Amino acid sequence: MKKNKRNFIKFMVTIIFIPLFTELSFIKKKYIKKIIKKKRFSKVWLLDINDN
Amino acid sequence: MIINNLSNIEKKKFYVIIIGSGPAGISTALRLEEKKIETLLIEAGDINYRPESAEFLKVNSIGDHYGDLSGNRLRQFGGTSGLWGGNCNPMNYNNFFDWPIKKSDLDKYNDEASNILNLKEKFFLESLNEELNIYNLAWSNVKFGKDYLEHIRKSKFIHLSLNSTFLSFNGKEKNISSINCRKGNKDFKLMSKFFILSCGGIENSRLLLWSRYKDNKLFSSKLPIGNYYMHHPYHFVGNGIINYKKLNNYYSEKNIVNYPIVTCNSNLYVEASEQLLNEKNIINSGIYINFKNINKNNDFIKQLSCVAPKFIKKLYDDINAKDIYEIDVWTMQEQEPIKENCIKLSDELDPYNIPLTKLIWKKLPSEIKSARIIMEEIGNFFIKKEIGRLALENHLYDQNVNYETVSGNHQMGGTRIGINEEDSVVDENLKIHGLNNLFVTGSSVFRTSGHSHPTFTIVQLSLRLADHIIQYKTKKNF
Repeated sequence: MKKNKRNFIKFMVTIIFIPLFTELSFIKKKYIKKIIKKKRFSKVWLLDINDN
Repeated sequence: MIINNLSNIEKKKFYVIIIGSGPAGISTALRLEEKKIETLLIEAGDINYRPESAEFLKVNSIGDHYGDLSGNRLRQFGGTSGLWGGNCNPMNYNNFFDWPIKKSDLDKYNDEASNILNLKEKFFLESLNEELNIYNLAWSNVKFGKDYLEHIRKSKFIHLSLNSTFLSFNGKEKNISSINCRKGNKDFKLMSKFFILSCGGIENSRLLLWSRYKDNKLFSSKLPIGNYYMHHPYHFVGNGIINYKKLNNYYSEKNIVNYPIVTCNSNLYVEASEQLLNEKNIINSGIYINFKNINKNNDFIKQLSCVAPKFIKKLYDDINAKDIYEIDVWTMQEQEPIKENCIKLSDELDPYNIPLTKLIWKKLPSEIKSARIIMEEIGNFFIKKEIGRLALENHLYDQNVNYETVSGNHQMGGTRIGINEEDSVVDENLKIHGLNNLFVTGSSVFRTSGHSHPTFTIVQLSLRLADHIIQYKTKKNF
């Protein structure tokens, strides 16, 4: 039982959590670099998507 | 020396007569003087400005609004350098793509041109990233009329005749033998081996068009005199905010050695790299980023707070720091050379019955497209490196939005350099195609305008022309 529990935790960490966090951070990185153009106040603003 | 009475030199045959005493004419004369070659410098104006001289410079401007050209040119000793801003920078390598000479042909004259213009700073061009370069302007305090008058007065080899207006060329079978010019109420015939026309970006074309009209056997009808006129459209393209400390850190990361020290009202100059020009098929623009002290209460910062609240909140942590600047962004653009932008003779006449100038000039779509692409590259660079934010003017995106270009200070083209008379007026040595001894110098010979201020290139070209004439003298093959 103890061994199974350890294997389960190992499975969760290596197969589920690490890829998930890696993926999330990758998405976040892409998300940070997203540049948007916004028309307002008779100007076209060049902004990062996180500015708003 | 100054010649007051032209009757005394009517029988003298000079080696070179230079028509026009602006930066081009004086630079050429100074170089020829070094080799003890006698020149006669003909200046239509006086030592100081006379209001009546403006009667000769009137322009009938057709097309897009060009600004008031009466304030952009001076008919006096020293030419338009009497009112210029003094900014200098050399043309880039890629501007010479279509020229019959290379940048290196002019770079030989960098030191001498800098010396004539009394430039204290060295020029630099640094790569900011793959798409953008930064560069500098050097400032000249030289007013050619004021600074070279005493030198010319004392010179044994430069003869200066003021208030002497060029009227026409005389000659036959590809050779100019003399010019007619008027001083006071009297006309004179002046002889020389070589003649150089250096009356400025518009006058060179006007006088050549008039000369061809007077004698169509001497000048080929094929020469595109007056065509491919160019100007540097200069307009406001946006504003923004910049963290100069972060920009400085970027310089260090990238080992950028040459960059301007920023203070309030100083400028950072940015242009497109060759890679960006080729990739996007655009013409170049000098982007002038002017730094101002930040004011939390001004409209732009308030607007930025609405459009980018998270960014401005983050910025407010640093806003009292001296590293944050508000910026105004202007662009001085290269203009495509097209036949349709041209100088012609007007139906109106000047006081000596020579037709005045009709200028046909239009803004071109490539200018706005290019400015937009370069500005977006700068904006993206600011975002990626967390350096700042830009807001661009609507006219960069909407062709229906009208925009004004400032002044017409830089007049280029009209007698452009090239290899044949079908598409150019002068050859690689600035000699008019089909003639043996008439040369043109100044910004009118520019084949492309680049975005650089023209005076440095004008002086380089004039020094090179003088060397070409010196070669004739030393080889004695003329």
